Amino acid sequence: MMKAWPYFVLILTLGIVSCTIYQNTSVVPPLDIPGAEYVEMRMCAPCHRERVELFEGSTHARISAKGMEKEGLGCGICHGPGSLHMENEYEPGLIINPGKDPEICFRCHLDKKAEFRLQYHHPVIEGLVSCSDCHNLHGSEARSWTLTSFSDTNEVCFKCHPEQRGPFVFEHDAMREGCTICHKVHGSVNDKLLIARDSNLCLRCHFQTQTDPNRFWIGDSDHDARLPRGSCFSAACHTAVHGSNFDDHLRY
Amino acid sequence: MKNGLTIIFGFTILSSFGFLLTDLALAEQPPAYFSTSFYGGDIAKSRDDEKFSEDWQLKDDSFIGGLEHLKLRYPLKEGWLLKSEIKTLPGQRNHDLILELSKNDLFYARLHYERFPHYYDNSGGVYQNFATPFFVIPEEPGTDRQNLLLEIGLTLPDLPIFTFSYEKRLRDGEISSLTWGEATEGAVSRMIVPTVKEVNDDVNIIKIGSEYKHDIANIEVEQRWEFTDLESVRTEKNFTNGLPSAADATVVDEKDTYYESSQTTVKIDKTINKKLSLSGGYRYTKVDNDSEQFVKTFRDTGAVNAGSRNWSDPNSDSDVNSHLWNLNLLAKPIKDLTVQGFLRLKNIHRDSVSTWFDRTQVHDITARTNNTTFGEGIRVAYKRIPRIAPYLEAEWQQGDIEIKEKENRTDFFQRDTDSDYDKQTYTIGLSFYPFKRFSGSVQYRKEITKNEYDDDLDTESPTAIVPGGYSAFIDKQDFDTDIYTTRLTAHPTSSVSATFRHEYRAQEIDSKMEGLDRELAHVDMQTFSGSVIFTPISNLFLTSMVMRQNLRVKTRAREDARTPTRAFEGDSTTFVNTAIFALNEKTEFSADYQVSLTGNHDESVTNYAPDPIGLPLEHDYTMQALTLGVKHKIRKNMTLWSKYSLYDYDESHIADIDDYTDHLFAVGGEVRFR
Repeated sequence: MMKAWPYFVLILTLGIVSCTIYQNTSVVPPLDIPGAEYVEMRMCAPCHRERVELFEGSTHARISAKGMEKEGLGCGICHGPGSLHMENEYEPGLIINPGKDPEICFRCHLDKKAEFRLQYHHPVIEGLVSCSDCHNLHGSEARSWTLTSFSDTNEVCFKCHPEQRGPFVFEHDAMREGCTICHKVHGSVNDKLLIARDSNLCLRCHFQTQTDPNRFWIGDSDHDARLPRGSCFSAACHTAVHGSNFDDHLRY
Repeated sequence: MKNGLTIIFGFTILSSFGFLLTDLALAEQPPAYFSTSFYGGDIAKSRDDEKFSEDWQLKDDSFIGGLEHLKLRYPLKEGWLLKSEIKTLPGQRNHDLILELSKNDLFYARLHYERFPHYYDNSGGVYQNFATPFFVIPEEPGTDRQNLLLEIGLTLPDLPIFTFSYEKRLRDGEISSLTWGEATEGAVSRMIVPTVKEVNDDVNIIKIGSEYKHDIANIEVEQRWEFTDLESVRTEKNFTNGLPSAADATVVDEKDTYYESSQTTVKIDKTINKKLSLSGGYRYTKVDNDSEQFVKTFRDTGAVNAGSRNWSDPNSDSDVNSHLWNLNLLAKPIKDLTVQGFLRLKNIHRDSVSTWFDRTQVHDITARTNNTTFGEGIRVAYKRIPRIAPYLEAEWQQGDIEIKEKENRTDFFQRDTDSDYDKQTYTIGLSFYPFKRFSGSVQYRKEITKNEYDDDLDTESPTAIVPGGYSAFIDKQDFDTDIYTTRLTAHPTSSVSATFRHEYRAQEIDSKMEGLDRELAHVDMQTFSGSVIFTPISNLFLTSMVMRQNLRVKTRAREDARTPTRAFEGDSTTFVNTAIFALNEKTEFSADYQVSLTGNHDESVTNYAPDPIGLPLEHDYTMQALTLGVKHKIRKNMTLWSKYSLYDYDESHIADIDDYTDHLFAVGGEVRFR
C-alpha cells in the first residue's frame, strides 16, 4: 500500500494545478456526441444500404418503433445521434462504433456488463474480445443458431475453441443442445465458465433413480465413492467430455 | 512462424511511422486524419500474481504501456485511400495491426494481425479444512494467441466482386485444469489436484469468393478450405504437502488431431417487389479428421507402468459430409407488418473408424451417424400501432439421428440407436414508449426440446440396475425452458436516466431411463440489474449500476439421503460506479469503482459433509478495483492523462491462497492531427 502514496500525491498536485485555471464547463457523458441529433434510418441507407436492409430482420429491430427513430430508436440505438456524422462523414468521433466499445451494448444489456466482471469471464472489458466477435449485430445471424443462418449451434465458439469441434467417433449428445447448456458464456463464478462447478452439472441429465440403498448408480456403474471426489470430468474420469475418438464413455 | 509474424508486425509498424512522417506533412486534403494515444506505467504487486493475471489479463512483472492506439486515414492519389490502426503494448505481448489500402472501383487489400496472451491461475481451489496453501502448481499457465488475416478484393464496376483471403490462427501455451491425483496434507489425502494442459493449435483458412449483383438476382459463391492441426498434452500427477510428487506414477494424455475441410456455399437473394424478397442457399461441407492419442503411465523411474492406461498405435479417422439448404422469405403484405419465413434442411453423414492397443488387446471401432434435421420458422413484427411494437416468433426443428457403433474385441459391443428430437421455440414480446421519457420492453420465450432414444440393438448385457445395459443410457429426455425478460428505462428529468432489467430463466430437465422412474433436474437463474445516470450539475457525471444474480442447479440427488451431492448455488452481486468531474474546459477528474462478491462456498461445501473429501471449491470472494484518473487538455488536439488503479481480491479461506492487492500507475496522452 505504501507504494501507492507517490501516485496519490501526483494526482492531487495535478488537481491543485488545474484549480488555478478554474472556469465553468460541461462534462460530456461517455458515448454522447455533443451537438448531434438523431436521424431517421432511411438517412443512413445511401451509404450503409446493406446494413439498413439486414437490420429489418435482426433481433435489435424489435425495439425500433414507428416514428421513434428521431428519438434514438433507429440506428441511433447503438450508434448514437448521427446528424453530424452525415455532414462530415470522414470526421472521427462523430459516430459511435459499438464494435470497439462494449459500453454501448452495456447500456441495455446491464447484466452482461456485470457478468464480464465476475472472476471468470471472456476478456471483453480488457479489450481482447469484442461483442461483435460473437454476435453479428445487424443481421439475422445475430443469433447464429437460428434457422436464418448457415451456421450451426456452437460454430461461433469453435472459431476460438477448435479442439471442442470434432468430429468425434463418440459424440456427447449434450453438444447438440449447444455450449450454453453447460457454459455461462459471458461470465461465471465457476472456472471454465461452467454453470455449476461440481457434479450437479452432469447429474442434471445423468442422474437416475437409485435402486440400492448403499450405492450410487449411474448406468451400471457404482459412482458412490467417485462423485464426492470431484466433478465427473475434473476427476480425470470423463475428461473427453466434448467427445472422444477412442473411448465410448468419454474417459480419454 | 510466430517469430516471422512478429517480424512482419514490427516492420509494418516502422513502415507506417515512416510513411506518416514523410507524407502526413504533405497532406492537404481535409479527410486525412491521424490520432495516437500512448501510455506507460508500472504495477506494484503483492501475493498471488497468477490470480491477478487471470482476473485482469495483465502481467504484473512487466512494463505496462506502449502505443495504445494509432489511427490513420489518409487519401493518397485520387480514389486511393490508406487506413491503418495500430496498437502495441510490448510488455504485455499485446499487439494489433490493421492496414487497409483501397482504390475506388478497382480493389481493396486488408491486413489484420493481432497477438494477445490469455492468463490462467495456477491454483485449483481449496479443500475444506485444509489450512496450508499447498494447492498450487509451479507453472504460470497462459496461452499466446496470434491471428493473421489477409484479404484482397477486386471491385471493378459492373463486374462480380472477387475476394481472396488467408487466415491463420495460432494458440500456444498452457491452460490450467483440474485432474485426478493424490493431494496430501499430513495424514489426510484428497483426490483432485491442479494441472496444466499444454496446447498448440494451428488453424489455416483459405477462402475465395465472388459476389455478383444483377437485375435478376444477387448471387454469392464462396469456397473455403481449412487445415487444422491441434496438439495437446495433459498430465495427471500426485502432490504431497503442496509439491508435485515424483514418487508416484504420472499419466500423460497426448492428442494430435489434424483435419482438412472444404466448404462450398452458394447464396441467392432476390427482391421481387417492395412487398416480397426471397433468399436461399446451399452449403456443402466435407471434413476429413485424422487423430492420434497416446495415453501413457510412467513410474517415477521413467519406466512405463503396467496396466490399461498405456496405449499403442492409436489412430482414428472420421469423414463427414454435410448438405444444408436454406430458404428465407421477407414479406410486407400490409403497411408496417413484416413477416419472415424460414425453411432449413440439413443432413450430416459421418463414418468413423478408430483402433488402439491397450497392452492386452486391440480395439477396432467403427461408428456411423446419419443426422437429418428439418426446420421451419416464422417471425411477425407489427409497427402500425403508435408507440407500441409487438412481435412474435416461432421456430420448429425435427431431427432424426441413426447411430451405429461396433467394437471388435473379446467382449465386443454393438449398438444401433435411432434417436429423434423435436425442438420448439416461441417468443412473444412488446416494446413500448407510452410517453416521452419512458420506454420499456417485455418478452417471454419458451424453449422445448424432446429427445427420444430408441435402442434397437445393444449387446451389452442387461444388469439388475439398468435393463438396457449401456451405462448412462437414456430413453427419453425433455428440456423445458421459460425465460421472462423485462426492461424499463426512464428519463424523468434531463439530468437523470434510469434503467432496470430483470430476467428469470427456469429450466427443467426430465430424464427417463429404461425400467426406472423419471427424474427431474432444475436450473433456475434470476438476474436483477439496474443503473442510474445522474448529471446533477453540468460538469459532474455520475453513473452507478448493480446486478444481483441467483443461480441454482438442483438435481434429484438433493432429496436423496443416500447421495453425496447437494444443489449447487452460484450467487453473485456486482456494483460498477463511475464519476467524472470536469473542473474546467481543460481538466477532468474521474473515479471508477467496481466490486463483485460471491457467496456460494458455504452452501456448496456442505455437499461433502460429513466427510469432506470432495472437489476443491472456489471460496466466497470479494474482487474489487478502484481507478482514479485525471485528464488535462494541453492544446486543442493534445491531451495528457494520469491514472491510478487499485486491484484487490480477498477470499474467505484462511490461507488466502489467491489473495492479491496490486497497484497500477500510468501516465499517457493522446494527439490528433487533421
